[in-house]
Amino acid sequence: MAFKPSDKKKRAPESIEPNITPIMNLMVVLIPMLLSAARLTELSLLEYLPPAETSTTGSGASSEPPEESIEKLNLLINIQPENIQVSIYQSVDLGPNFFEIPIKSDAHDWETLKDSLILIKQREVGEPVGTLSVMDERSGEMKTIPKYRFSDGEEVSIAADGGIPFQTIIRAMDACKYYVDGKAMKPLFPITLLKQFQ
Amino acid sequence: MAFAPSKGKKNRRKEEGTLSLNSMMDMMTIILLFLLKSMSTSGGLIKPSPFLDLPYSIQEKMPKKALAILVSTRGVLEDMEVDPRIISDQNEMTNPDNVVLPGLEKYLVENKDLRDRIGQFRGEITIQCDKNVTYDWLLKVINTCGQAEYVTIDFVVIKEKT
Repeated sequence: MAFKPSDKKKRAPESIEPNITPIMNLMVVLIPMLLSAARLTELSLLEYLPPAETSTTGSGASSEPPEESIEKLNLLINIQPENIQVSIYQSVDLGPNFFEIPIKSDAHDWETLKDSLILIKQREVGEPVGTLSVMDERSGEMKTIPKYRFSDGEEVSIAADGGIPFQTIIRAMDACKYYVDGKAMKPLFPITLLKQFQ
Repeated sequence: MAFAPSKGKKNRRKEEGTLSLNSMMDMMTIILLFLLKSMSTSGGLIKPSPFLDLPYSIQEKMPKKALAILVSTRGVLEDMEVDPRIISDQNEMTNPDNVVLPGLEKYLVENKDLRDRIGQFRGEITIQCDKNVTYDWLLKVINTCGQAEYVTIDFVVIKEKT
């Protein structure tokens, strides 16, 4: 008599699960370590380049006036506890070239300052009239920068009362950097010089 | 007559309850990958000082490694995570005769000489400045940096979403 086929052959193979406890232990150590090292706030740098000597080596068309005859805008922002003073052409008489932006709701009115700067940029400075190849004394490299009818067409001087906190200065620098024109971001006065209060 | 106690129930082996770690493993893996990614994008070059309240800005320049100092309402401090040394104290900062801070100037010149010797001086400095530091202190720090030939100054700010 033939033997009956063994039941063992028909038994479904047992699924073998890997032992993940050591991996779990590793995770439990790694995650707190990474969490403690993680930066939950994203840091950035605000570059401040004090004025440096630059030498112009090429300036495009020959019909350009010599450097001395180019006008200066002399845009100055004075931050005081009670207002922001904006001055161009070194003007000190209240009018379109010298005006004050009072504080609004116990805070400086950066929106109005930005709008005023956009107006100055469009009305007084206008679009670039060419480009300049400039030797950067710091890096020793040549770079091309836009040329405006004013030699300081991208510069703003910021001065503040001695007690003004650093955060307020940063807000002023932010307001001067660029503006949004349609969908494009255009430079406003990105070169900032910090000066003594005047 | 009372029934005899069930033999089947008493002798039945108790089933062992096993904790399924699979879903927890999945979760841990996701957290681990997220943390590793955030570590690599931030670069870990600059760590905000626990002694300062950094200002907010819309600037988007990536942090880079350079000589770093801290400017707090206590004065100018060395960039240390624990017990930073005071380079220029409050007396030095508030003295109206100090246009340039002697303590900070000495520290910067020493560092410049050290980096000059190994050919790594590029005139770059990173300043972590408390948002409540006043403008007159800030100007003194900037003047001192310029005096010591550190001409590229980067302020560390917390990036603000626009």
